[in-house]
Amino acid sequence: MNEEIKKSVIAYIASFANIPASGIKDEYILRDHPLQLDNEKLGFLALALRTYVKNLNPAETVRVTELRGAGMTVKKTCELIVKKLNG
Amino acid sequence: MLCLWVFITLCPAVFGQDSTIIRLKNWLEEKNFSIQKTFDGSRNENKPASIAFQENHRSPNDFFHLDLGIKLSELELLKNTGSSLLFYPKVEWHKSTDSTDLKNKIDGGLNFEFIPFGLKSPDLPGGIPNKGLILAPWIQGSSSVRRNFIEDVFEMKLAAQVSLVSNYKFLPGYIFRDKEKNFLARYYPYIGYEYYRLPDLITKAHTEKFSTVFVRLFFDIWIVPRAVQFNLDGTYRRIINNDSAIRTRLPIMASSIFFYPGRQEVISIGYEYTHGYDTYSKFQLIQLSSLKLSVKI
Repeated sequence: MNEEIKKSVIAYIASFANIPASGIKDEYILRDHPLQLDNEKLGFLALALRTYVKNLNPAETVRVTELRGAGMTVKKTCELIVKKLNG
Repeated sequence: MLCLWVFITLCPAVFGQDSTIIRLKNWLEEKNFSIQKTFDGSRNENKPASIAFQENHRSPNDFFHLDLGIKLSELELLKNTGSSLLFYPKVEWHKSTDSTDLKNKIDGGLNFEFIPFGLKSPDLPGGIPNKGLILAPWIQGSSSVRRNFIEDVFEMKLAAQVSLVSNYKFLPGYIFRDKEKNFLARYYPYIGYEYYRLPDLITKAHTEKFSTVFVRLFFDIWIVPRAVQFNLDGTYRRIINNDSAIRTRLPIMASSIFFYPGRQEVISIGYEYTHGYDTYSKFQLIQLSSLKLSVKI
């Protein structure tokens, strides 16, 4: 289940960043090289992940400010979503 | 030139991935602070706070210029809907020692950011939600009261602008990449409205009150990945029902090139050329070259 969630989160990040999912590494910071997701894109990515989370657990949500936080990496994003879906 | 050589030589140690400045950046981000050139709702993205040595082409002046904006915190609403609404207070300091256009202004205000709809994305695997628009609006507003220490008055500005964002090829916000998947470019168009209340702008004891509409195009291009960034920022502003002595049509264009030493994207040195009618310079024609040391957090 966790692997499935991680795969989905990476698919969203990859698509928003226009990078193949296979090229995404855990340590990449969302707003830095090579992903370069700016504030606007991170806002929309948060809404996409919110829809994904609410689809599986309507009681949970994803805030825009969570994705724009300091040093938010791919790994931290996956962990955040896994935590929201696994309680 | 010697200073530039010393700067470049020392940069990897001073500004490298584990440097004090990067650690300071991370600490400030954790506290939800953000430092940039301005948060006035007109040109905030990817414009770092800067101190600049400038040459005014329209006068014999050379001078220093400081632009510093700090976003203090964020309040997020609509957390359980398909939209997002954020409010954040900001403070800014803009100072110039140009003897023909002295500036020393501190302003504070409240900004908002509204994302009404989600954004569709290409190439998502089937089975996971892909709701939203192919091209979605992103709305930003700002309000600020500014203390002008030179004129000894309080000024006011309200602004709102709409941009468009997409994940689809060639549309605004799309990330262009090279074959190695390095970031190459993106662009954003804007349309917006501003209201100004400016005492003593042209005549003493008279307050200018007027509104403007504007269109703007912003390009962010990395000529050398992680090292050399080029920005082009053009705005065409028009005063509505103009009964002041200010020109009705106010175009302005700024182009800049920044060098980021030590494979980091926080500290940079750069050159900027600005030509046009500047809202920060009493809406008068400016033609400036700037050598800048910039910090983006």
